[in-house]
Amino acid sequence: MSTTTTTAALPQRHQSKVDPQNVNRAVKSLLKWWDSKSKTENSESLENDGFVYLIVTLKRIPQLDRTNPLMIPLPHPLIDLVAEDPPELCLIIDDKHKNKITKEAALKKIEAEKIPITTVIKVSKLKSDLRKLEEEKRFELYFAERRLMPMLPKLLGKEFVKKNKTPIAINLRHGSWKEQIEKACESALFFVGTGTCSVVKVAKLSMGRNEIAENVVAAMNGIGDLVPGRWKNVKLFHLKLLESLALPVYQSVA
Amino acid sequence: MGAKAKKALKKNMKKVAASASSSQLPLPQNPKPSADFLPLEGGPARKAPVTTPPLQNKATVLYIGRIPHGFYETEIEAFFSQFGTVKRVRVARNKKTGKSKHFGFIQFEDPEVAEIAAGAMNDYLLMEHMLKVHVIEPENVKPNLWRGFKCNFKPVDSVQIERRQLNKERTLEEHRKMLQKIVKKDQKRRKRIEAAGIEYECPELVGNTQPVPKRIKFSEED
Repeated sequence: MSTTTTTAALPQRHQSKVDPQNVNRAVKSLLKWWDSKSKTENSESLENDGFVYLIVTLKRIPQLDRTNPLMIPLPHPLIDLVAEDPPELCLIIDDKHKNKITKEAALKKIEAEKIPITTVIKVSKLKSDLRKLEEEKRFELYFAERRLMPMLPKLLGKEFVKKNKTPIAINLRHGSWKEQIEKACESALFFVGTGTCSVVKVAKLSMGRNEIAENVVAAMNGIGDLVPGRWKNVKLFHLKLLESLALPVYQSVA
Repeated sequence: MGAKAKKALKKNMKKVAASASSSQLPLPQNPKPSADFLPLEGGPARKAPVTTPPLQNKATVLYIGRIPHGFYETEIEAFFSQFGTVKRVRVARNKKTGKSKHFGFIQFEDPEVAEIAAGAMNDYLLMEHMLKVHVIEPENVKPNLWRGFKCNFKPVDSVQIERRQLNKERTLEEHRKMLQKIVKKDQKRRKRIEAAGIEYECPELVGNTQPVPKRIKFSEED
């Protein structure tokens, strides 16, 4: 029987089964591969999106009927809200039901509370407005009123599903808008599909090596705790870039 | 005194004669109206009852083709009930998705109603589709034509089937095979990483790679 050495120093609800040394070695190998790759082939480097991906494979398909992603907080967020060049975020509001929010009221609230939303779209004009805005801007994240989630897949179309740009449901009637949006921006989004395999963006190549490793470890621990069945259900963790081979970081058999 | 008694007797005799004559009067009048109703000789002959020939047409099933999207069992039954009583309706559907195959069958109570409905609805433009309706002879109706016409259609849930298949409890032999596959795949992955020129040592597999029986199944002892 061969088991990985567990570090007892990490304060976890469950005993962490992630070995940071494996993660460090994997990150080091990937960065080394990326450096050599980008030097030899300069034109291809433009196509890479600069993200580090964590591939999660579970043992059993979870019985989750949800479209909202599981949010795993990261020590170094992918979306930097405090930067000089803030990212483009889009909010889809509900203007059809009786408890509707008007666009002017939403814009006022966004300006008053300094919520990091750059564009507000009404659901009744979603198709026309979104096509226009997509040509001009590139939105990092989409947010939507919680009650609009069942009808959004039809309105948005399959391109959103392909690019994994599904809007994140937030509650606009209760709770703080700013807290919900900031929490989503500071987290890795883990979408549970209908199979066992999922891909999570955990880091950027522009970060330092230690920062990438910390993000990966935090994401693995978060996924292990949030997935139904927890660590018993986790089978594989792979780490990869967009075009690289997937390096196994954690493999479980039992 | 004797003369008065005689006069009284004469009066009584007259009364009796009057009553007798009044009772005799209606008797001769009775035979006259009976003569009008029952002639003694001749008269018109009675008509024999006309026997209608039995119906030869027994076809009650119609084929309906080019059914438009949205015109399903409920709508077909409601629409065709204007011609007569509808017994059964069936629309052919895709087994996986449950979508209509755009043709179906309907059965009426009366053959005449079926014939009239077929004549009226053939080449009928409905929701931009031109219906094709014709009668199916009884010998051409297949035995399993009405199979499953009552139950509500449920498409095959492949996600649920896959989930059940993957999450099932495995026997000892199946578990051993699965472990062998995992170990073999791990070795293949290491070779691929080495061939790609990436310097990385894969971590060891967590857990016991030797099969341990999760559950004792007595069928294996046979």
